Amino acid sequence: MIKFLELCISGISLGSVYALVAIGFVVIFKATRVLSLVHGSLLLLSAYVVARAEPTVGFLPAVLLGAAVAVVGAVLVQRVFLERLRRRGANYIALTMLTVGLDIILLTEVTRRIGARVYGINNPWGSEVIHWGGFSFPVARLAGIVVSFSLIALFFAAFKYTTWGVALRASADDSHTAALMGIRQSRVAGAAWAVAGALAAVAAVFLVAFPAPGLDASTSLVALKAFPAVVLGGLDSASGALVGGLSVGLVEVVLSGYGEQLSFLGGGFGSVAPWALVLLVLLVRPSGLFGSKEVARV
Amino acid sequence: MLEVQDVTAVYGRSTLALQGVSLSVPAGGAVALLGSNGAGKSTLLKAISGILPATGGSLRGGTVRWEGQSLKNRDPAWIVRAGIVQVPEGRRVFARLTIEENLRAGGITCRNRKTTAQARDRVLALFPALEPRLSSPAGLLSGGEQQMLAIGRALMAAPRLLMLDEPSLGLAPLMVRQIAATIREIHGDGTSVLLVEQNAHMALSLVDSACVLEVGRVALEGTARELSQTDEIQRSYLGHGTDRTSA
Repeated sequence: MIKFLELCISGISLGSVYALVAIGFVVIFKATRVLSLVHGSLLLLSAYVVARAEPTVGFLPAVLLGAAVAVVGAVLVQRVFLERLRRRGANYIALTMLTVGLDIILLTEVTRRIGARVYGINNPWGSEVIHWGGFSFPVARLAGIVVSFSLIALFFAAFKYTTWGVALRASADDSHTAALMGIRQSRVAGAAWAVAGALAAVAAVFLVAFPAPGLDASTSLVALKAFPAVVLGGLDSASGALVGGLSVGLVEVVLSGYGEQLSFLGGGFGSVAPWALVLLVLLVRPSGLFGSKEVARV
Repeated sequence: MLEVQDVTAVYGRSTLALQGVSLSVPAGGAVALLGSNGAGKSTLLKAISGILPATGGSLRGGTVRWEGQSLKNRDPAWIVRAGIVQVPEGRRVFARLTIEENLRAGGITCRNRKTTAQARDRVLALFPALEPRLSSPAGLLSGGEQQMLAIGRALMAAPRLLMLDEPSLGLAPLMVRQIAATIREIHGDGTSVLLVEQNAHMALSLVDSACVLEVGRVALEGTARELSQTDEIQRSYLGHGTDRTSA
């Protein structure tokens, strides 16, 4: 039982970090109908910046720098490539493919720089572990939960109450009419990319800091794990991304924790489990748990 | 005032939607644009409000001027700020947003809180039915209420020229009369109106002058009174058809 609860805490912690990445996907999708497949490399880039800057400038400035790089990178992708091509009439499928290309280029460069090294990030809570009753949790996991949930709450408040949130939702609902009201598509999209970049940067820090082994070339694969979270929740639903992220984190961690008992399914079932879960959910709800049916309206 | 001169618009590479159309709406005036489906009425509104490029069309020739400034190649947000707002055909309220949020979206170009609050008061005074339901999703409103919301949303930007694309479409006769009364009231407050309609009877009762578009050209124009008496309007748009004369 203690093991189960410990696994749940660490699953929620990992899940809330996935949710940060997943919400970024959803925001960009809502604003532009584009799936940002460049997310993995942006995440890796900001983790790399944090890891390189941290020894000289300290933890918090390094995180801010990493977030700034991710935000600028994301906005550049939107401004330099997507917005220009959209104006020339490229549809969102072509733009999604473009993000795949950008991802490959950026990923190649960052992994070349990382090489075979593994960077550790020294974070303020270090490798402390709380022991309480029979439980033990790494403080980093709890910090991950607190920070992620605060950011997610902040995001939802902005989404619901700010002018940007209204503009984003109006534009997701009906972009032509939103344009008629004077809502500038390019600004809404730019802000969406910036938000997604910042969320990915924070996620990156928790994904590479203790108790994770550190930053190496495979860190970008994490963005791929946020993908089942997005599909599970529904591509255009922010709350779906939250639920999806948490479910994927929980399922992955808990099933990996009971790997031995599940060995009849083959080794490492935990890492495949999120995709199995997605398949099951999609069989019942083809648009994800909270997605709207008419996602691909042209 | 709005001056459209000799405008030609195309969709795609070559589909002509407007050929040399001219029209003007004087300051404080009300003009109707009549014509059947596909005559180019909506295209003209889109050319004025600046969303023609976003819908796959483009302005080829002619000029569109508003208070002396050209509207060509301006983006829609600029045009809204300049004082022209279009109520789209089919209402197109933001179904998943609440009524309050729809109104907020309409007033998004206005940075001044006091002006926004005034515009909101005006809208709720015009459409008291919306007030008790401000926090419910706009998608749950009836067709007539959605039309009210669409007009209210446009008024949030405090336009000096309000363009309405077929506000009577698909509404019950009673509701059409209500919407007409509202448009008359908005016009009475000093807002210029450009009204696109197939319901010529309603339109001609509201405006000073009108023109009739047929396959992208102006076929007829004149004052509302003159037009409502011409044979062609009577036959094609007011339902006093050839049947009666030939019988």
